[in-house]
Amino acid sequence: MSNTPAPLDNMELAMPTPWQQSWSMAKYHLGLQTGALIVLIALICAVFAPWIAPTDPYAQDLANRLAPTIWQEGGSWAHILGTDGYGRDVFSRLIWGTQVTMIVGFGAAVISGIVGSTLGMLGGYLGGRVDAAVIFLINVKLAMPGVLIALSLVSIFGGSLLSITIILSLLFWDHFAVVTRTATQEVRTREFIAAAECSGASRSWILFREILPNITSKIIVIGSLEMGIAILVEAALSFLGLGIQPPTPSWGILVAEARDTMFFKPHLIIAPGLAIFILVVGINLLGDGIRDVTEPQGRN
Amino acid sequence: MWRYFVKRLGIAILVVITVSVISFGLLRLSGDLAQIIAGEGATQAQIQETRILYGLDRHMVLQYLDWAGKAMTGDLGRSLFTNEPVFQLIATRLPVTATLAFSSLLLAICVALPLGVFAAVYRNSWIDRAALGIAVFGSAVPNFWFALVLIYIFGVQLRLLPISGSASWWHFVLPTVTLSTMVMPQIMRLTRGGMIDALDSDYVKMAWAKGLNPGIVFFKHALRNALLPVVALSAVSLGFLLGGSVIVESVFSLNGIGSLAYESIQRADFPVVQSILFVLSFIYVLLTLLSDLINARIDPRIRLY
Repeated sequence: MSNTPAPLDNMELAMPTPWQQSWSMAKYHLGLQTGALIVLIALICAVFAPWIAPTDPYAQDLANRLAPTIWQEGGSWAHILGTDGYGRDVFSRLIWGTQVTMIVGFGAAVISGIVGSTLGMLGGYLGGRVDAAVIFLINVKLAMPGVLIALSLVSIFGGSLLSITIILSLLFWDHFAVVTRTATQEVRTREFIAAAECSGASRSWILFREILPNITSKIIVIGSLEMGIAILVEAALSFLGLGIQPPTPSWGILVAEARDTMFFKPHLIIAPGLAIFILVVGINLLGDGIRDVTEPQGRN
Repeated sequence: MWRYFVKRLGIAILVVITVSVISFGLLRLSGDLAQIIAGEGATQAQIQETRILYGLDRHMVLQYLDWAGKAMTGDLGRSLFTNEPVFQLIATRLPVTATLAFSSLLLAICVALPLGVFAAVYRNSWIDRAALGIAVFGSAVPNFWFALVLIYIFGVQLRLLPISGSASWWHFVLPTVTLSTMVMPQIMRLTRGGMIDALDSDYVKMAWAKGLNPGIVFFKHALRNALLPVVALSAVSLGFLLGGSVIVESVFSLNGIGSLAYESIQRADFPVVQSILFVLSFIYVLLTLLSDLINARIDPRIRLY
C-alpha cells in the first residue's frame, strides 16, 4: 500500500557523504580555488615544459646577451622575459625550472611524509617505549640546524635531483611525526579501534586500515606546508651553490646567476623569485583550503 | 618542580650526545679524511702518515670518544684550512650571528605580538586580514631573494642603508628585517590563535560578566594565557635563527657563524663544520631547556608532569 517504508538507499541519499560536503564547500572557497589553479598551472608547466618553453633552456646565444624584455625598448616576442648573461631565454629557463621545483618539492614532501607519519602513528598507537623513542628522535632532529646539515650533506653526496630530494626529506619528517602522533592518540581511543582489536585485527591492519584513513587529511595539509618549505629550501641551497648544479635551471640558480647584473637588469632577479613566491603561496592556500573543507571545525 | 627539571635535563643531555654522534658520523661519511688532509697529489705513504698523525687509523668509536673528551674541555680541534683552534674561530664569529638572531627575534616579536593580539580581538577586520597577509608573505617569500630585493630598493635605489659587512648598527638593519620574516608568521599565528582561544574561554566571559574594563580583560586575563606557548616558541625560534642565518649572512657578507659554516663546508674543513653543528645544537638544547623552565615558572600546571 502507500505507507510502505522508503527504501534505505533513499535515506542515505538525503544525508550528504563527507565527500559531497567537502565538495560543496570547495565550490565557495576562493582560497582553495586560487591555490589549486596556481598549483595546476605549475604542474602543467612542469609536465609539458618541452612543449611550452619557446626555446631550449640551455641554448646560449652569446651575441644576444641580456636582451630586453617584451615591455622594454627593443624587446621581441622571441624572448618574452629577455635573455640572461649567457644569452639564454629567461622565460624558457623559468618554465623548465618549474620541473626541478615541483619534483624536489613533491618528492621531499612525499618521502618525509611517509617516514614521519609512520613514526608518528607507531608512537601514537603503541605508546610506551616506542613512543618515547619517537619523541626522542623528534627532539634530536629539532636540535640540529637543518639548513647547515643539508648543505654539508649536499657537499658530500652531490647535487643531483635525487640526492637533493632525499636530503631535503630528512629535514621535514618531524612535523609529520608530531601531528600524526597526536592525531593517532586521539583516534586510538575511539570505539571502532576497540572493535577492530576485539575482532582480532592485526596491528598493521589497525594502523593502515583503521587509523590512517582517519588522519589522511591532516597528513595532506602538513604535506602541502612542507612542500612549500622544501621548495624554498631547495631554491636557497641552489642559490648558495650547494644544491642543484648549474646549468640545470632551478629557480634558485636563476636568482644566483642574475645577481651580478641585478643593478641594471632587476627583472632577471624579480621573475624567478616571484615565481617561487607565487607557487609557495598557491601550495599553502591549497593546503589551508583542503583543511577548511575536510575539517570545518579546525579553522583559525 | 625538581623532578620535572631533572627529567628534562636528562633528556637534554641524551639529545646533545646523540647529536654529537650524528655530526661526528656525518662527516666521516664523506670519504677518507686522511686523503683530504694530505691534499691532492699526495702519495700513499704520505696519506698513511697523515692517517697515523691525526689518529685516523684507530677504531671509529675510539676516535669519537677522543673527540668528545676533548670537546668537553672546550678543545674542538683545529681547522684543516687555517690551523686555528676551532673554538676560537667559533667564538670570534658567534657574536655577529647572535646579534643578528637576537635583533631578528626582537623585531619579529615586536611586530607579531601586537598584530596577533589585535587580529584576535578584531577578528575578520582589516587588521586581521593585514596580519594574515603578512603571515602568508613571510612564510612564502624566499629569504635570499627578499634580501636582494631589499638591497636593490634601500641600498641601491634609495641609498638609505649599507648593504654588506657588519661595521655599524645600520649594517644590521636589512639582514634583521630579512631574517625576521622566517619566524614572524609562526609567532603571529600562535599569538592570534592563543588569544582567540583565551577570549572564547569561560574565565574571560566571567571577567566580562564582572564588568571589568576591556583593557584588564584583554591584557591581564586573556593575553597572559595566550603568551605561554609564545614563550616556548620564541626560545625555539632563536635557536632556529642561529642555525638558519647562513643564507642571510652570505647575501649581506656578514662574518657570522653561518658564513663560517658555509666556507668550511665548501673547502671540506670537517673539524670546523662538525663543531659548528655541535655548538649550534648545544645552544638550541640549552634554549629549549630554559624555555621549559620559564614556562614551568609561569604555568604551575606544567610542573605536575
